[in-house]
Amino acid sequence: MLYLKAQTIETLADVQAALGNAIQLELSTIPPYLTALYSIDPSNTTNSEIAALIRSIAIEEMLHMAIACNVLNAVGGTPAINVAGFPPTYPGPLPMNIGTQPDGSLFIVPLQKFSIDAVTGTFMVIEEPEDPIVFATARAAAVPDFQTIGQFYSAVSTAIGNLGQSIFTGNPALQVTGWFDSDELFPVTTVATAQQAIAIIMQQGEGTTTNPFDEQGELAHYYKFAEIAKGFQLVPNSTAPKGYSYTGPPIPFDPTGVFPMVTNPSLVALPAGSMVAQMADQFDATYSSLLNALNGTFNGAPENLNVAMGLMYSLRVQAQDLMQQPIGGSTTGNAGPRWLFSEATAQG
Amino acid sequence: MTYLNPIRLHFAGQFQADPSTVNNDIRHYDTSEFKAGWQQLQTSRADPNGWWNPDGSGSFRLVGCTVTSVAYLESDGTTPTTSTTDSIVGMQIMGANTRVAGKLVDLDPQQQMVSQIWGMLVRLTNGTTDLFSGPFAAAPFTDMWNRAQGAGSSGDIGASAVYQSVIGPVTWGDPGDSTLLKQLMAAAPEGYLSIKFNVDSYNMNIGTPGFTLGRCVGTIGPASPSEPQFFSLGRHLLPSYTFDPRNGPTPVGPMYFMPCTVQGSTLYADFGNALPTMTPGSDMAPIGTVQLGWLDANENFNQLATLADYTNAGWYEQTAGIQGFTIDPSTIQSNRLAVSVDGTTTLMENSGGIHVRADNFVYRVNANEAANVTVWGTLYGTPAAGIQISVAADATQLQGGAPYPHDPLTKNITAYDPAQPENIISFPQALTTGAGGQVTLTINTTNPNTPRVYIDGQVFGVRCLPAATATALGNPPTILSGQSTTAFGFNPWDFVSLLVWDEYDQPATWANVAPILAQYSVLYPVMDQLIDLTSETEVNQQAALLQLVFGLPITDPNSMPVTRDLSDAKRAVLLQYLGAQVAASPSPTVVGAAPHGKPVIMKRKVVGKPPQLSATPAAAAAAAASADDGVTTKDSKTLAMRNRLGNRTAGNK
Repeated sequence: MLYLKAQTIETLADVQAALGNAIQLELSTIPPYLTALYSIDPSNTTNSEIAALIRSIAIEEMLHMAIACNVLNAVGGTPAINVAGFPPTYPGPLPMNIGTQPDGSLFIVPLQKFSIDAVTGTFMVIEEPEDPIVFATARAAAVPDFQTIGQFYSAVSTAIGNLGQSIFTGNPALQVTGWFDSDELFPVTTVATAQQAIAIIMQQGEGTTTNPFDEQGELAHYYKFAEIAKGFQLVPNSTAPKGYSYTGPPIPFDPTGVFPMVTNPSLVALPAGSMVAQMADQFDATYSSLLNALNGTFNGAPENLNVAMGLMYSLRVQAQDLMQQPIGGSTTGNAGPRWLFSEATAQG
Repeated sequence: MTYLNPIRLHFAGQFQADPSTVNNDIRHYDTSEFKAGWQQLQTSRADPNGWWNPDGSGSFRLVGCTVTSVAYLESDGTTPTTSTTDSIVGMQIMGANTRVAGKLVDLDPQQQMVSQIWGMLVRLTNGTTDLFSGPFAAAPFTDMWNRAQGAGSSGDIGASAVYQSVIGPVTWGDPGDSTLLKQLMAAAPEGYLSIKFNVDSYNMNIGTPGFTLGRCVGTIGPASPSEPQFFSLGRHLLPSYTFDPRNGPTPVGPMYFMPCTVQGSTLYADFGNALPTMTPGSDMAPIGTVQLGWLDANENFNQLATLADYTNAGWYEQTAGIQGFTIDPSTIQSNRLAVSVDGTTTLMENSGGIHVRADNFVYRVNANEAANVTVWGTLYGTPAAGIQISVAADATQLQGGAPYPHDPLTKNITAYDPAQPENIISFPQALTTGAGGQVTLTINTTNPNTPRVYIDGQVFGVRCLPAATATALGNPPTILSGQSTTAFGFNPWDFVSLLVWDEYDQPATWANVAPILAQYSVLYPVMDQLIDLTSETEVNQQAALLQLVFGLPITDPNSMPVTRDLSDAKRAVLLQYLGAQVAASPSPTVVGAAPHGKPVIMKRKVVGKPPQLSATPAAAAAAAASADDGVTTKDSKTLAMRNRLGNRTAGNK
């Protein structure tokens, strides 16, 4: 389970800073998840269920990022997504050094093709709830000075409640809606709507403390990843200790249906001037444009979400093209997206 | 005013053109006979499959283009000068950084020689701030020729062509201390800029460095909204043509079409696409002494100036091939301009200094609608009333038909002729320019009624020529079909291409929508990565997204189809169908389906009203758990999960 350094979240400035961190945190999960997703060869239908599961998680992370932006805008803050240093780099730590152990060791998130190890070694670690229902033996002991991601969001929510309606000074026209269910992405203008929005992030990520499903009846991320790792769906089971077990229909995995992308493409030199280098550069340029577009979307042009969507689809096509290109030279394996933001070279 | 004026910037770098090539063969539009292999890369010249880039995205980009030099007027306001030290030199000319790239789009599989760039944005940027940015009006390439002369120049890599259009209205940034930008802003008060770039050295060899890239060298200057967008009013120098049995009409001599303008006592000549290169992407080839001059009544060449330095390394990238020459304008006011190479006259203005051209020359129209083409006539570069124009159907520059020209494979599919039946389009055969040197050519249409069976509508060509030229050469000029061996006075590329769509009036059912989408599915394999357009389930699930992109204006880079070949009538039926799916959907779905074949795990509404959350998440959860809305929360979740499992089971079938 991942901890972060406990933060004091009391003042409006604290809340705004924390929400900025939250945007960064939600953004940080998307490249690793999408990299794994795009590494799954769409022509191999055996892995379709796995792809659908990861995809649904990645889309919810996008939702969470949007929610965090809406809440920040609502309390008079300004999302700053396309600023050098804000978009995470890989391999690298999560924002706020989440996962840093009390002994100081960092949790480093790599970019890797899909594998069961990627799911258990990285994704389930990121998403592990405070108290995983199926595996839990006891509630994790409180660690002094540290908190979980859930506790972090809970602290933000509590602080908003304590600060009250007076902090909701943001321009309602900045609120972004659409593409998601209106009960998931909605205008945040009040304490109640802010707390409802934050609760969605928490539940979709971790589930509730008693149920692996969120309020929409969707399995929380950790359990979706666990389904993939176990190879079976999580289903109700009255004989299981917590009422569920991984004994549903199988979720098959065919390792041959994954493009052989190198781990951490940003660490692998590409032949200068090569076609694959050009493709990798273009991916970064398009990703940078996407962050530009999202920044515009959450800073006064909510209708630009449609434009950003076009860039997301372009990224997907480019990523899958890239992952089918052998790097060549002395490197074994295929290229992959690096997710490098650059203001100067951004181009859709 | 256009780019060919005293105030301009030159840029050089690369372009990327990434078209899908499965649609290169019209017979691939016959979805009933389509073979999976036609989506695969060609394995040899004898087996083109889906040609050289079947997975192309359609994107067109300016890549690594930087400002190499500028030209402006000295402080006296009249003396032109050039500089490589203006503060914008070294800045980038590039596309949008907040939306997807522009798209490169053929008009039709039987007219692939007017590929237009749609939805591109052009910016001048220092990497953090834009100095200007604006949309590029969709424009086709023209004036393609085999410019590279040396080894390795055969095929498209040796070819060069021109794009000219207008950017704007632009958003200006702070010009800072840039003399060029300040003059450009003053010269373009309405925010319209003229852009022209030459593309050559295009790499079509997949897997090799620079695949889909080529050289791009261009110029940006002010545009006058009252002038043509796609060519410069001015002096247009033409080569003579000969007929080559293998390559068709071929320019005589080493040079190609060259536009010039005269402003004050300066003649601006654009050699950018007029000179050959040694090899693809190289400096200009040393063809000899190139002189600019004028012709007297006996067509004797009178020298005005000599082109200096053109073979120097980097000359082309630095100048884009544009040179200003100080002249006495009265000398050439009513004499034909010409270019000689080592004493041989190689390029000349047309007889009488007449130039006739359609501004926009690519049209898509629905059945029974008209294309209104603005045609300009000039005499010695000045728009003139009373110029008589001949108009005629000209299919000679369209491609394909039976027998199919590239037909190494046995395909049991008929390749239908373009431009048939001829009477689908009608237009006046003679026009006369009015005041301002303009006249509107109205091309009326009727319903083509699927003459090519498996592809919508029909494509036509219409050529405008000065009446005297048509009398001398024929209209279309007989050399275009090999019926004469030499010709001077026209540009084979100057004709109007017109795609006329079929009438269509069918109910908005899947049965009617499916064939429309199926064609896009097979011809654009890149779509398969996003959605299976042959799957009713997937289309219905992603109806909201499809409704969005099929509803965008075709100027939008996200507009579907990328090919911009969907008639208004079919689009309306498709949108009606998608709208019905969206309306019938229990809730808007998030972006799309699983990669292939299986439905996305749909989000489901909680049964009953959503919980109203309390001050803390923990309290909220407690409140939700105790909510009395007729169905307990636990039950609702179980129901949702059952739905989900049921959905999965269905998906696994």
